[in-house]
Amino acid sequence: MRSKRLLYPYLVWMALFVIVPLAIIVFYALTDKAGAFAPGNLGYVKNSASIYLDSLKIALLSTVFCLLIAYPFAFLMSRMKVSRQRMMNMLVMVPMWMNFILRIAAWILILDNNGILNRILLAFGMSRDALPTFLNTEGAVVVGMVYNFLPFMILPIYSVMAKIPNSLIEASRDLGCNGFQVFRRVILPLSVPGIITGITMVFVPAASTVVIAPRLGGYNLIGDQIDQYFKGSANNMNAGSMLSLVLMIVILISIAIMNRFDRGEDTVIM
Amino acid sequence: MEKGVSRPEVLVRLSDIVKSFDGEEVLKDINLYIEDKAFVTLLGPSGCGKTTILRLIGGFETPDSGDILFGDTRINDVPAHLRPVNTVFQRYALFPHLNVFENVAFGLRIQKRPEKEIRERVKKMLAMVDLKGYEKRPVTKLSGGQQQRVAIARALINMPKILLLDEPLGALDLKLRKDMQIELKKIQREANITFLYVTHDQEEALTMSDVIVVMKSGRIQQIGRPQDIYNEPKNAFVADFIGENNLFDGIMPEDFKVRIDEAEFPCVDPRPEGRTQVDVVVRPEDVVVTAPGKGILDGVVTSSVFKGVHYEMHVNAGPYEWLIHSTKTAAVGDTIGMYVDPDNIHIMVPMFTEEQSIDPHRVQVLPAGEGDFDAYLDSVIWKGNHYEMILVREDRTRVLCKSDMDEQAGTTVGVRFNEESPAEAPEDAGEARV
Repeated sequence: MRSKRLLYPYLVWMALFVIVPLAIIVFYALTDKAGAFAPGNLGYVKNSASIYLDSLKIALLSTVFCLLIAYPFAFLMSRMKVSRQRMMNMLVMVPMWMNFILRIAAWILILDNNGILNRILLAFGMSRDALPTFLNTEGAVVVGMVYNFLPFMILPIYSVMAKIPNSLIEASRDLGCNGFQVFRRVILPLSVPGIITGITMVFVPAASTVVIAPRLGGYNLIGDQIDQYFKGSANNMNAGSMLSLVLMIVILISIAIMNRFDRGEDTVIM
Repeated sequence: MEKGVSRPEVLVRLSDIVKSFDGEEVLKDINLYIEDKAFVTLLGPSGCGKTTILRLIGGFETPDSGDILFGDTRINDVPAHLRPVNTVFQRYALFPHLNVFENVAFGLRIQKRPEKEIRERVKKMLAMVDLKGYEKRPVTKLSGGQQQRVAIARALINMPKILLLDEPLGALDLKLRKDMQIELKKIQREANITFLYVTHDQEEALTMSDVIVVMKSGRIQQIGRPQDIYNEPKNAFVADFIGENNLFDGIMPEDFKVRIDEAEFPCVDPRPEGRTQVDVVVRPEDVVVTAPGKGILDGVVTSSVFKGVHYEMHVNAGPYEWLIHSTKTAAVGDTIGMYVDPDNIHIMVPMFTEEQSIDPHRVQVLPAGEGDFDAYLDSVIWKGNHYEMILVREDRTRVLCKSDMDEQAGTTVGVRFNEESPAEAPEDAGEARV
């Protein structure tokens, strides 16, 4: 009984700061400036359809690259000495403590036409005319996203892998598994929960993030689009709310699909 | 068969095995062979190296020197997954992402057996370990005893030449453990497979084994049938580790005669290796209670507890306290006579046979770092009125200590030599001849 009473403040908190804001967004999404019901707001979504698709594509690509980089890294990390694991953990997290804008600005310096990358290429003898353009491409956006969200993929996978007892690996060897089979039959299936968490933690913010695309890609993704509706001359809270609401639904659907994979476990992956 | 008696084949042989971790030798010159179809138990306190032997055979460790032979083949460098050996791990190590059926089928799936064969063999195996109908259960939802049996089934289904079991009953409660002991023995007979079993529980070892290997500090102390180990322990450590007993310092004035304090017992052993200083062991159930003066020595009963089948009595006789299991009892404070059949007096070479210049009573054991030097406390054995401790110094020399204080064997302690022998020390300052 007592423990239930302790829950009440949290319920009030959640009502005030989760349910009420959501209701406000839904309200704005379905009304016009005068407050009248306005199903026509869906038109904003239609106009932004290609931006939605771009956002999902970039988010998906970033998630895939994050997974490809993070998985082997997390595995190697989980097999290191404990003291070394702690150090690696730190190194993974330290960049996150640096300001987000600064981290993006750093990538502009690297990818710019006169940036570090191109200067290195020049130094290796590439002619000035043949230099590739890195900045203001989709690739640059994906690089920025992967760089920013990689820790969110590494950490959950690592924490699941670190918990796989060595005895399970020995048991699988004992039962005849070679190195690859140990991975395929024990480590991979047991790390699926970490993969799912990692994918969710990268995909969701990547799909709705701001700043990265305009600065590195020179174009807007859906997050930037929503951002624009909430400021300056374009001020249109109804349009912004509608776009947000649809984005939320799209993300919810993506997560629901993901969770189905989770239940399928080892039959789905590979 | 032509000669009437067929000697069982040797399945696994360890010869001159040495293994160390971080510079510390955990196995010292191990020589051991395991006969085909036998139930062999490695018995010893924790840290004695028994699990390391198992892991060497399983392929999870490699020896620093020495050979592991399987039949006639040296398998030192054969990786674990290619050895005809399976293990039942200490905490079972079942795969949490697979159900009971898939756990048991794991090895066969790796061997890429046809589905039909897998189904049949898993079904048979589950019936054998009494888990029919549990196929679809997740292993995480099973009780300890059931998980145990899945672990055994998962290992046995691969028909290994030898099954390694690492304290498999350690996590079970007493009742279940006793049931599983009988069950395991039955499974071993039915499967007709060699079992190499590791435990620190002497009762478990006596119950199940054909052969027991008693170990201490990385060395084999004795190999023998349970009866041999119990009745004819090779040294005080084995006697102390297996069952309850009375262990005393004894003196043999001549063959077939041993003196424990003042009392002289006839026995059936000659002086071992010609020694006069010996260790004597008498099992508590072998002490016969008689009328005072009618036995070999008299003593005063200090406690008597009814234990169901027998009374457990403590009796003070001279400087020594005797432990007696008898169906007869006497009131506390009574004087009784005690008699021991010569056959039941067992003579052993002492564990400490070196000459020591310092009186063992003057050796004082302190917490590590607080003495004049640190030493490893190799063994602690109660000898009727004092603890006999053997300490190993850094330079591998050994020091004998006799003390009233109990200490934990297998730890590092500080050692100091006292100026004077403590006043209350018993007078039989035995081995220390200056």
